Amino acid sequence: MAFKIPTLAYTGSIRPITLEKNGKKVIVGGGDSYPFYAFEGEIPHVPKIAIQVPDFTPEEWADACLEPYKDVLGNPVGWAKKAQDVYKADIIFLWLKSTDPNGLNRSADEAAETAKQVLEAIDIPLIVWGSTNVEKDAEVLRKVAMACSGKKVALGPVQEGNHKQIGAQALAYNHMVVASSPIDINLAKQLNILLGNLGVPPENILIDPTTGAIGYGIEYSYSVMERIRQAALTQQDEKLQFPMISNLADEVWKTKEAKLADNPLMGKALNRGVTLEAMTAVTLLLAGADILVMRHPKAIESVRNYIADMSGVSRPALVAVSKEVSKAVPGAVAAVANLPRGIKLDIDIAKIMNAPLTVGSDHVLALVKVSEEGEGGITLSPDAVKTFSAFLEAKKAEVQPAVVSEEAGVKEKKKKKAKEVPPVKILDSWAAPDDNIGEFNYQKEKKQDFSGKQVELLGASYEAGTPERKEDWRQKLRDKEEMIQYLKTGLRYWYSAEVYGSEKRKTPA
Amino acid sequence: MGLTGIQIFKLLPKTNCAECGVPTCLAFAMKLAAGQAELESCPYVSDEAKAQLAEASAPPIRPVVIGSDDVFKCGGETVQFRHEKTFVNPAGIAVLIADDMNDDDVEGRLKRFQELKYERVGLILKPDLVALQNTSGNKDKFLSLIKKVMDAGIKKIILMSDKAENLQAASEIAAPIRPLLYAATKENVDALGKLAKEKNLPLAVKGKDIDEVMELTTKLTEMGLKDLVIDSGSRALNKVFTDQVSIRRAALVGGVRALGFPTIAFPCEMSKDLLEESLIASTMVSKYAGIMVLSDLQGESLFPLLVQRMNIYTDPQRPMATSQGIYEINLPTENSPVLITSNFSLTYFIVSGEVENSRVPSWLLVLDTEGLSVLTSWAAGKFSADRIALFLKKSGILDKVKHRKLVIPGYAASISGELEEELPDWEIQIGPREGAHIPAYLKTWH
Repeated sequence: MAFKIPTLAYTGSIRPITLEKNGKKVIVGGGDSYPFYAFEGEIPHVPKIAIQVPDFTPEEWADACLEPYKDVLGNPVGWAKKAQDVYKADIIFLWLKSTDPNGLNRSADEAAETAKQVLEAIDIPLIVWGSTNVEKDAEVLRKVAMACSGKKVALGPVQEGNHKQIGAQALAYNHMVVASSPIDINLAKQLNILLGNLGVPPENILIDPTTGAIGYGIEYSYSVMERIRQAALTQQDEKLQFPMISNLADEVWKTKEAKLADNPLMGKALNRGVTLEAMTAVTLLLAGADILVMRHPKAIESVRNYIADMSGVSRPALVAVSKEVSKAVPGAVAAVANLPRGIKLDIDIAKIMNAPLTVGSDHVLALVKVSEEGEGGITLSPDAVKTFSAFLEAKKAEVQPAVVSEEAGVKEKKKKKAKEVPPVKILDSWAAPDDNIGEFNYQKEKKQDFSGKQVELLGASYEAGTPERKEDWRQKLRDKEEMIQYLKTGLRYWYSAEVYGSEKRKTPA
Repeated sequence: MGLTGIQIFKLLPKTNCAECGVPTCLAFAMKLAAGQAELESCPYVSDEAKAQLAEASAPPIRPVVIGSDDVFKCGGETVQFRHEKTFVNPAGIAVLIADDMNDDDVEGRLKRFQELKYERVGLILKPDLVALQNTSGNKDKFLSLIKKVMDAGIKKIILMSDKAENLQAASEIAAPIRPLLYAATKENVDALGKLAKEKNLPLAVKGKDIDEVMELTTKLTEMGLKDLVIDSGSRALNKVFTDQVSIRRAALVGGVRALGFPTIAFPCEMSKDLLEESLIASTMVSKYAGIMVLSDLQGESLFPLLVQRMNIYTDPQRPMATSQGIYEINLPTENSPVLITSNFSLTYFIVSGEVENSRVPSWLLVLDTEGLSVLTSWAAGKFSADRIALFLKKSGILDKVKHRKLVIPGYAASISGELEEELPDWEIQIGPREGAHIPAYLKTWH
């Protein structure tokens, strides 16, 4: 007998949300099963990585984090470019911390100018993050919304105390919002309802459930995120069916364990910090994070590879490595064949380039990418082109379509699915009545009564119907009063000594 | 599965002899229903009732114990999501030592295994097991490695070999400390099953897929073995992940007895990069491994993994607390500021971390608020003026500082008036609400 995983009744899915810049789309969410449960659902869009760009010179940061960005410290535009071009961010996360009234207290105008400059410098979507000061953020993000008008950016954190001001600006200038609530599923839901009341369209909302690092409350974030996913996927709670963002970079790197110097018990500082950041990211991915806000390039690289491994797509190549390789071959000549993304190469590159150089797998792919972008790159001699083309042809033939690229891979999977004949389902609790017999074929169910005696019960004598359209009474709620009434009495989640889960409330709040 | 306490009670002898360790038969029945007791503890139960109850009373995932006096326990989990109840037996961290490693590698691993320990919220975090692998295939090499490790005082081990006869010889030496044998496969299941039964040792099974695992566990269960551990055979990350989820769900939701055992995973065979290996291990912590075997232990990756494991395995219904007392940060003097906060561990970690960041020498008083945060404990009356005043007087801080100034959290600002009444010679200062603002506050404190 072949093993079959007991199925789980998913009844909802996460909304796919599109972030966009100059026609370049980054889509998050869209999943219809728990994170990476690819055996029973689709992963239409793998989680994305946003790189954090501070608008100030980070003097207090750990050395490990300053080193990769030492040429762009205090230069948010250069930092954002580097994050995009060298460290291959999917999204830029501009952190306007310098506006904090308890810190540098920079003006909203200054911050808006920074946001505008960063926006103009990059080709990937932008998230603009305030200082989390409720009053100041309302002012700063208002100016940012105006300065970035015409291009869609995501504004956050939008909290209950300033959702009206920021929500209104987002509506006016067609920006997105990141709804931020303090590690609580009810508050997350409530804020989404409030934003909905304000008229913010659902396709412009992301959730920030608040993130804790390893050793600093990650277990709270983990369980609240799992609960939010559960409510969204198995309880059709459409006010929670949004992608989640985990702003983990600073949470990890501000801890003392990440900053501590090398030490025999705690190992090397750099590796420890990177491991803490990457491991926090991985743990949150398993709880349902769709966008990770990260800092250290090494942590980013390992998490990107992890996402690829978990989603069953091939690992992306690193262009940064290839630049060094191309520099190492002076006088090399230009022209490279087109290579589909995702092919793994494991050849002696020296043979191709007639140059004394050996690199491992992935690097050839990276070289190709460099010259595609016209950033220097390499050239092959005519002999080498022949060898290389032959090699590529052979490789292309080997490559499975599913690993060509993320998007194409998903399409391919869907195609395969469509071809399969769906298995015929036989319900074991219900049998069709026999047409020839006038008498009905009753199903009997054996049960135990209260005294433990076996009794037979008549089963259902009708086919369970399936409604054509899901009746959702929540859509009938028209105004704020009705919504508040619903919040007081409707489906809420509660905690007690025995149960930490959800129940329908028996008495009004 | 699923009999209620009352239904079980009807099948018990109802003698209330208390020989099972529980005062009455009814209480024992309730414990059985909750999976907290074993039917074997009852000396008078009839065979007929035993047969009826055996199925119902066994926990859905068998708890498996490795070691004899100092034991490691895995399995016994009852939920898929930690918020539903709690994950009970933290995934075991084992370090791999092969018998073809050179002496330095072996010594280094043993040393790190014994020395890398961390204290956090009153708990000692450390790796659990040593996995000894008979990579060479040579019996003598394997045995001498085992002796060496046992001589070093290590008592929780996994013995890994492809050869049944080598495991046989190994268990002759190691049986008293109850090691886990790895692994019974389709080829050697009879021999290893017999060995494990004879020596009463836990046994791991390794199949090429879950189907084969089920065949093996079914066979071994029929042979009378109970303490089994599952290796589903796969080594690709997404496949291992799928297997772990499938096995947990099948055992808990599907009631598949053949999969009702803890699992073992091998991050050491899944990546050659220490960082990648650690990320795989942390995935196994969150998603259901009972034991995981690592290639090496290094502080920089072990510490994050141990803390992550502690976080995932904490009881979500019980807040973690730090002990009440005076914490000295950055070598304070008699002129340093005195701050007070609650003993919710997260509050303590954040506040102490920020005070440390500020580099301002300070005294941090931690009041026992039963693990509640400042705002919650204030609302519950546990962070109240009278309790703070009493604690302050008894804590001994009066002898440590010359000044009489106390900084209270911004969230508890409203108790400052009452505190001034309780502590007439003290100046009550209101600190920031958020931990992040503490350094700025302390730098201007006077």
